[in-house]
Amino acid sequence: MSVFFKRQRHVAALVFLALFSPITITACSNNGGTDKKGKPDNVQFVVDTGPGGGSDVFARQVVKIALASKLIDGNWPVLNRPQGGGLAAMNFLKQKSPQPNFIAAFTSKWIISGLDTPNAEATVKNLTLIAQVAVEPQMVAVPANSPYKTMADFIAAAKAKPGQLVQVGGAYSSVDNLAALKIQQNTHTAWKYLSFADGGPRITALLRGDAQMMIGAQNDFSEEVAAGQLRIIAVMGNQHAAKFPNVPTFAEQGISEVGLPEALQWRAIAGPANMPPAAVAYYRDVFSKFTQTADWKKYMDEEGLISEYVAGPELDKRVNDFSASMAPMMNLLKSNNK
Amino acid sequence: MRRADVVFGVIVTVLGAGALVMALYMPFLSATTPGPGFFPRLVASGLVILGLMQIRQGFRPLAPEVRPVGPVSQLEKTVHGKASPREPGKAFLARRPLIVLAGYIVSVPLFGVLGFVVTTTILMAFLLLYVEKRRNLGAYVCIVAIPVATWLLFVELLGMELPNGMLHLGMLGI
Amino acid sequence: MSVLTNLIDGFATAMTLTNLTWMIAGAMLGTLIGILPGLGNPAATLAILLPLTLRLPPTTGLIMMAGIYHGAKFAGATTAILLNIPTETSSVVLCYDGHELAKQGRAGPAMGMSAISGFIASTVGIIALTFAAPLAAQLAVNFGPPEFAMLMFFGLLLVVTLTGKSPVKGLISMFLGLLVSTVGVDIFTGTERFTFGSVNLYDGIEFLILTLGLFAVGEVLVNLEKKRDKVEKLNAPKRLRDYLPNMADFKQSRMAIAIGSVVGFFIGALPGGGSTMASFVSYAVVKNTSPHPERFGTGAIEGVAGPEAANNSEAGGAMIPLLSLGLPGSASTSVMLAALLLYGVQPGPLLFTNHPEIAWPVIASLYLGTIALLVLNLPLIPLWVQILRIPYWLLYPIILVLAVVGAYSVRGSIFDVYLLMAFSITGYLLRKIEVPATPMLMAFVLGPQAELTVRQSLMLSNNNPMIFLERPISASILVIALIAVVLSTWGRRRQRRRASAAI
Repeated sequence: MSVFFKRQRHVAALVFLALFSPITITACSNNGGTDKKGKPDNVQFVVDTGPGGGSDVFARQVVKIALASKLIDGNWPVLNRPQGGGLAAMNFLKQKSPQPNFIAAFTSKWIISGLDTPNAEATVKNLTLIAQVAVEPQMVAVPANSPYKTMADFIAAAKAKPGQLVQVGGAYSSVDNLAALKIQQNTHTAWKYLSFADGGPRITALLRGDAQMMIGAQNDFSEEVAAGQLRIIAVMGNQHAAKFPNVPTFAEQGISEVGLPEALQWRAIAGPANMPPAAVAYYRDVFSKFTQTADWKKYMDEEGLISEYVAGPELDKRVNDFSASMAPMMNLLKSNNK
Repeated sequence: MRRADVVFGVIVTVLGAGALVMALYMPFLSATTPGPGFFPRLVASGLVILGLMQIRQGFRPLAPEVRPVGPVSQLEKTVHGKASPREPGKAFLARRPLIVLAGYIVSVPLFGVLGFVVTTTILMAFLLLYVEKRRNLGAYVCIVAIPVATWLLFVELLGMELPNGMLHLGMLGI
Repeated sequence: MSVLTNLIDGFATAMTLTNLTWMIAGAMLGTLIGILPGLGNPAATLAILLPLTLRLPPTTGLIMMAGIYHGAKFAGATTAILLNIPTETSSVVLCYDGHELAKQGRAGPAMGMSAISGFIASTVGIIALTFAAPLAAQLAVNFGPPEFAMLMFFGLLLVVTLTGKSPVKGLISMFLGLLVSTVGVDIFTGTERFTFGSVNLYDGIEFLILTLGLFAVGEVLVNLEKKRDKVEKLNAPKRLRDYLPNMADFKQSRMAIAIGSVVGFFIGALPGGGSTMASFVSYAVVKNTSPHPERFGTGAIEGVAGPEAANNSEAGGAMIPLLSLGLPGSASTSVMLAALLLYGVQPGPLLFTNHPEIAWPVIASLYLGTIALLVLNLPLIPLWVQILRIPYWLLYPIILVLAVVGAYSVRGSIFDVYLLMAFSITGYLLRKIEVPATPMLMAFVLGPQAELTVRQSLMLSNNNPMIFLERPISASILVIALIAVVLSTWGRRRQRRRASAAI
């Protein structure tokens, strides 16, 4: 028995230490009710990446800003469901229907994953769309010593050497590859797409000269550009980037973006299907105020994102339009694969 | 002939063959790179070959095995090339691990129904009371204390998630 | 030598009372949380404690994270040695010799050696960071797919040398590992491979589940076969001096620590290297260069010292891509980068020019963290070893329960618990027919990288395999690998001759 009590003391010591550490702030009760105003208790924030990934950092930043501007009163812990590019997160939310205390940082990638997976258990249809909060403009970067000064140069070179130039990026169904395939189709060119799972090797591939070009968001490159390692040669969409006002858009360089949705990459908030309307109203209220805060605007500027609050039927329309324009691009992807 | 080795060889061969068939449906070369089927086909073919070699070795246990690659630890060297010393008439699988394994596997579907704490308590009770036959106070305390302590530690303190039950009592995830 | 002066400034900033207190608190919390399965991965521990560290000012918060990081790493070693449960991927190697040592009643020395070799290697790592950073940074940029492919090829060759007495069984184990590693959606083409249509398998199988099944549960099941009185409990040391490594242990481990430190540093410096690969490769190298390779796997203290050294100097190496390129070298550094973002500091190549007041103290505190660990944990080792005094009839149910918790909490999916059961059965049966599990795990880690980098290389060269010979670094690695094979064959023949002469 003495042995047993030693173990007990050991456990007790562990629990004791843990109790007195401030991590108890993450402690929580497990019922997902709402108060009279539809404000859910114990909100948890589901993301589709692991700790440190894009959506994870985004969600934590949102919680941080919301806490600082007193829009929410307790921490919203982040839950990571990284499998299948949003598929696992959507499955998780489907299981949680109609609980009001789960929301997700949802991106355009989730729609693509759903389209790419005919047998997906849950898709965007199983979500309650709450609000879109930001649009992430995509831009094209090349190494600083690259001969391509504009995207038009790159396209011309790709025409001269079809199938030889290399674009670097992530998984094959990622937004940057889809966009590149559409542009290849529009300009009757072809180049290769080199996949890396992590962001680090993508940048080194550019610096080493293994790859000639990368399409990504501003914060994928901004520091490397500032350090003189990379250069931005074009911006997608019809707006110039605030940080790189002299970089022309695709259209200005005479490159057709026909068939591409207006915003390729955006960030939105969603909840499980059939979420109580009171809770939806509560979240919309929080996020509409949230996107007006100075901290949020500052964060948007730093990251090169454009703050854009859209909710209700307008958001449904956007998501439907996006899905509709993605479907032919998925076919393009499949035909390219063969 | 060592029956276990032969059976293992057969299993590996069948597994490799199955994987090979599945891999044949994946393109070997895609447009610009070795395709998704490239590596699985190599690995699956390797498994088939190794499985057949294993079967052959199982049939002639007393002949020295294929020469070892690299150094071999002393413990292994003592039995190298010969069948390990075995107790005659001993069953290949012992009873106790199988009972424990069975209880362990049965508990998995229960996690989603009864929740973590109840299922773990049942599992602990099964192991301590039935398998190990420890019917003293310490055992009874552990059966209840360990699941509850684990739950409090992981869920309440660290904010992690463990399986919840279907009863939704709101306490300990039951 | 601006690195040196900056580093000294960093130490000066880091060594305030507040910072040191938080660092020690971090190391303790990291150890306490890191011993829990599923949280042992330093990245997971860091993520859990992120809300807490974010309440501190940036420098202090990041210094505390450095403490947590080291605490979690040490905790991973602790559970691997004591209970054969590797809670993080880089401590899997410790199950091999570390747990054998624990079974022989030498858990204390194994844990002590892990902390001390880690400390020595961190010192090497920080010195190398100061003086060899430009060289290593150049290497990090020039290390592309063909170079990685050759490194993986070398790694798999090293795995073959670990296959033990029956090469066929060892190779089967390795190929099974490779096969399991291909499960999931192919990143290049999006093709589903061996997923059987299940979303749960889209991103492949979690390493932790494989190790929990093959090592922790597999070991429990094998132990249960023995008569009850034989496995009543594992040996705990009886005398106080048995709790720490002795001079003979250090003498045996000298070379291992040196090799581990160097290997760890360079692998850490490669973006995409990581501590798992560092510890595996260093174990294989240490074993193959040892005068007594046959002792490995039966409780050789060098088998603990080498990988743990690599594991810690890797942290120094991982700072190089961070310093020169602003790129994370491993999962843990990427969580640190995430924390930087949350503090409003944009990590990147300019991090060290724009925010030296944050960057250098953090590097300094990564080093101070190992000292804190040494001071805190050496005295606590006797306490940890008391876990071994728990009788086995109680210990093994706890191990089984913790394995479930670990498997579930990696991704929060009950499917993973079913997978755990499948790998437990596999692990048990493999042990029954004397198939080593280590080649499977190593192949599982190296396999995806090997496949990916070969395909990337061939894509770059339009399917021309000459790319591996045309690039100088990849060609040199290939030559080194071939020399290693020749030496290994020669060494084996010599060993065989010696063995036959003895008979």
